Amino acid sequence: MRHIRNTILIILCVVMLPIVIVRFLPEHWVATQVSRLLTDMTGYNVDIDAIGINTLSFHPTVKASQIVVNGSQLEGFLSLAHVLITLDIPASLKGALTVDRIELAEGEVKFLREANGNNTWTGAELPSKDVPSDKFEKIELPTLRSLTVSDVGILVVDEVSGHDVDLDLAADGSVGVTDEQWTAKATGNANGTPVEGILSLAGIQEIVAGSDSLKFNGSLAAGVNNIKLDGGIDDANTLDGLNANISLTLDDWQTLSSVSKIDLPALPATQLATRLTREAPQFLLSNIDMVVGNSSVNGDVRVDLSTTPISVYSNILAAPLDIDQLMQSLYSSEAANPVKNEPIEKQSADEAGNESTNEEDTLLPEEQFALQEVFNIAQGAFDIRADEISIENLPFDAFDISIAMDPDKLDVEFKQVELADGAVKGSMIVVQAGKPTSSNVELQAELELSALNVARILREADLPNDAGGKLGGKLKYWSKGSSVAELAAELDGGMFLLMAGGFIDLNMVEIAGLDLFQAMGDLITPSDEQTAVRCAYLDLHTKKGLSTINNLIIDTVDTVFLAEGRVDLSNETLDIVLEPHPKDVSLLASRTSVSIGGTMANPDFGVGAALPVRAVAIALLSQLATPALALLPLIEIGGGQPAPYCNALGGALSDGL
Amino acid sequence: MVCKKRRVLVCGLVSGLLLSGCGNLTQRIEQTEPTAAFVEAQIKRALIDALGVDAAAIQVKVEEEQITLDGFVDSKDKIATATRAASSVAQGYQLENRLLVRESNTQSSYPIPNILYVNT
Repeated sequence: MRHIRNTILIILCVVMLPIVIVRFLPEHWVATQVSRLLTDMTGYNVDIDAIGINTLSFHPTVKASQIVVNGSQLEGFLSLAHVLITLDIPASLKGALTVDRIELAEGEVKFLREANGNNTWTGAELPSKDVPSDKFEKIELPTLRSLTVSDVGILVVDEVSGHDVDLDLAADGSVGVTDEQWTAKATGNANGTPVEGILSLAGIQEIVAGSDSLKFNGSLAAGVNNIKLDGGIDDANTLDGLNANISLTLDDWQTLSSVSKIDLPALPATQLATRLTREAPQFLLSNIDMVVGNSSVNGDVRVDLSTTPISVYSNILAAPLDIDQLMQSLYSSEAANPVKNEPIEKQSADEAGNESTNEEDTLLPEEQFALQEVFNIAQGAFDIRADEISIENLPFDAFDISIAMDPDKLDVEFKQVELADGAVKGSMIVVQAGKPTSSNVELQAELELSALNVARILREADLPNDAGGKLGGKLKYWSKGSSVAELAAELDGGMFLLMAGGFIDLNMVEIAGLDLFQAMGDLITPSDEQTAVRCAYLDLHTKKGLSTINNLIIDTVDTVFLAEGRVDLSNETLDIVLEPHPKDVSLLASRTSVSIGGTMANPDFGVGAALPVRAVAIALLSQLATPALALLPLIEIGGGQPAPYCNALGGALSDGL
Repeated sequence: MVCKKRRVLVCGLVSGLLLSGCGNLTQRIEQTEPTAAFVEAQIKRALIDALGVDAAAIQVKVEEEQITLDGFVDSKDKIATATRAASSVAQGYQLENRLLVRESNTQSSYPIPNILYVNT
C-alpha cells in the first residue's frame, strides 16, 4: 500500500513539478529566453518585456506584454502591448496541438520606407544551414480556433511610392471551424481619403491544412467608391479553384486614383459586375457587365500573368458606346495630370530657329517608334464590337474589329466598320523587324470602302456640305521603316476610289470652271442649286514613296476636272496639275491649268502669268470648299461621254455604289 | 456665319478674276484616248474581280496595242492570276507584266483559336 502511495506521489511529482516550476518561473527571464529564440529563428530583433505562463488549468495561458519587433534596416516594425494565447490541453492530447484563442491588443504595425529604400519590414538574413531540399520537414501548424485583434493600428508611410495610410484594425471570430467566420475590419485614411474594408473568411484552418476550400466575402469603400466580392478558393498557393463574384461602383475615379497613387483616367461613373475564376494558368473574368457613363460593355477577358508579356484574350461588346464622353474624360485626365518628369530644357536661339525651319519644311514625324512600349504591354487577342456609337465629327455607326498582339507583331483586322451609311473592311499588320530593340517595322495595310455617304462625312466633320455621293474603293500598301517619315518614304502600293450618284455645289463648279458670269449671278442670288457628279475616280500608285496619279477624274454636268502629277513622300514635294474643263459655252469661260508644287508643308500654287488670281481661286476652292473632291481632279472623256471608269468599275469597287 | 464668310471669300475671288482678265492657256494634261480608257477600265474590273483588294496595288496602262501591268502583289500566284485576268478581257493586245512580288513578313495572325465568346 505504501509502495502504491509512493509511486503515485512520484508520478504526480514528475508531472506536476514541471508545471509548477513553469508556473513560477520569473516572467522577465522567460521573456528574455523567448525573445532570443525568436530573434534567432526569424531574423527580426524581438524584445518581449514579460511572459506570464499559467499552467494550472486545462486551458493554460501564455500572456506576453510589451512586445517590440524591429527589422534590420529601420526600427519600429511592430509593437504590441498584450498578447494572450490560450491552449486547449484536452483537445491537444487527442492529436495536434490546439490553440483555443489568440488575442492581440493595443499595438501598431508600421510599414515605413525611406527614399533610400530602407524599411522597417526587412529582417536580417538568416544563416543558411545547407539542408538538402528533400530533408525539409513540413511544418505542422497548430490548430487555431479563434483570433482576436483589437485596437491595433496599421501605418504605411512610403517615401518611395508616396503612400500614406493610417488604419485601425479590429478582427474577431473563429478560424478553425468551416461554417464560422473570422471577420476583420479596417477603417482609416489612405492617402487622404477615408477608407473602410471588411473581410470575412471561413475555413482558414482548412485551407492551411489543404483539406477544404476557403470561403470569403468582403467590401472596400474608398470615398464614394465601393468594391464588393464574395467567393471561394481551393488552394491559397496556386489560387486553384478561385471563384469570386466582384461588383464595383466607382462614382469618382479621381478618389480611386488618389487612394491607389496610380494615375487613372477620370472616367464617368462606372458600375461593374463580373465573375473571376481561375483556370490555371489563366484568370478568367466572365460575364462582364459594365456601365461607364453612357456606354455599356459586356464580354469576357482571359488573362495569363505567367507569360512575358502577359497574355490577354478578350471578347468585348460595347453598345451603346459614347466615345465622345470617354475621350473627354481621358482628355480632362491628361489636362489634370500633365506629363511628369520631363525636364524642360532651354533651347538656344539657333536650335529654336532650326526646329522652326524643320517644322516648316516637313510634315511627317521623324521620331523613332517606341515599339517596346507597344509590344511589351501584352500579347493575345481582342475581339471588340461596338454598336450605337456616338462620336463627334465622325459618322461611325458600328464596328467589329479584332486585334492580335504578339511580342513582335500587331495585327488589326477591320472585320466590319459601318461608316457613313457604308462599310469599311480591311486589315493592318505591323511586324517588328530586327528584334529585339530595333525601331524598324514592316507594315501592310489594306482597306475596302463601300458605299460611303460623302455628304454625311462632310456634314459630320463640319466641312462645307457642298458635295455628296456614294464613295467606294480599295487601298493596299506595304512599307517599312522606323518612323512615320521613313514609312512614307518606303511606301509601295496603290489605291483607287470611285464616287458616283453624287452632287456638288453649283457655285463651286462654275467658279472652278471660271464661268464667271454665271458664278456672279449665283453669288448675287444665292441658291441651294446643286449639280450632279456623274463620276469621280482616283487611281493612285506608289513606288518607294513616289505616289503617281494615274487617273484623277471628277465628271460633273457643268465641268470635268482632271489631274496628273506626283507626290514624293520621301522629300514631301508636290508636283500636281489640276485642270477644270467647263462643258457649257460661256463668254468668259476658259480652261486653265493649275499647278501645285512646293512641299506638303508649304505648297506653291501657280498658273500662267495671265491668270494668277484664278489659280489662287481654284487652289483656295480646293481647300475651302470641297477638299475631298478637289483632291480628285477629273478627266474628260470624249467630249462629255460617260467616263468608262465609272461604268466599268462602279459595280466592282463597292457593292451598291 | 460660315456661309457668310464663304460668300465674302467667293466674291473676292470672283472680283479678282474679273480684274485679272481671262485668257486661254495651253492644256497640259493629255486626255486618255476613249478606247484605251475603256480597255483600261475593263482590265481594272477584271483585276478587282480576280484579286479583290490586291488589285489596288496594280497599275494598268494601255497604249495603242500594248498593255502594261505594273505595281505589286504579295505572291507569285497573284502575278499569274493578274495576267490571266487582264488577258481575258483584252484579247488582241500585247501584255507586258512588270508586277513585282512584295516580300513581306506580314502574314495574318487569324484565325485565333483562343477567343472567348460573349455570353450576352
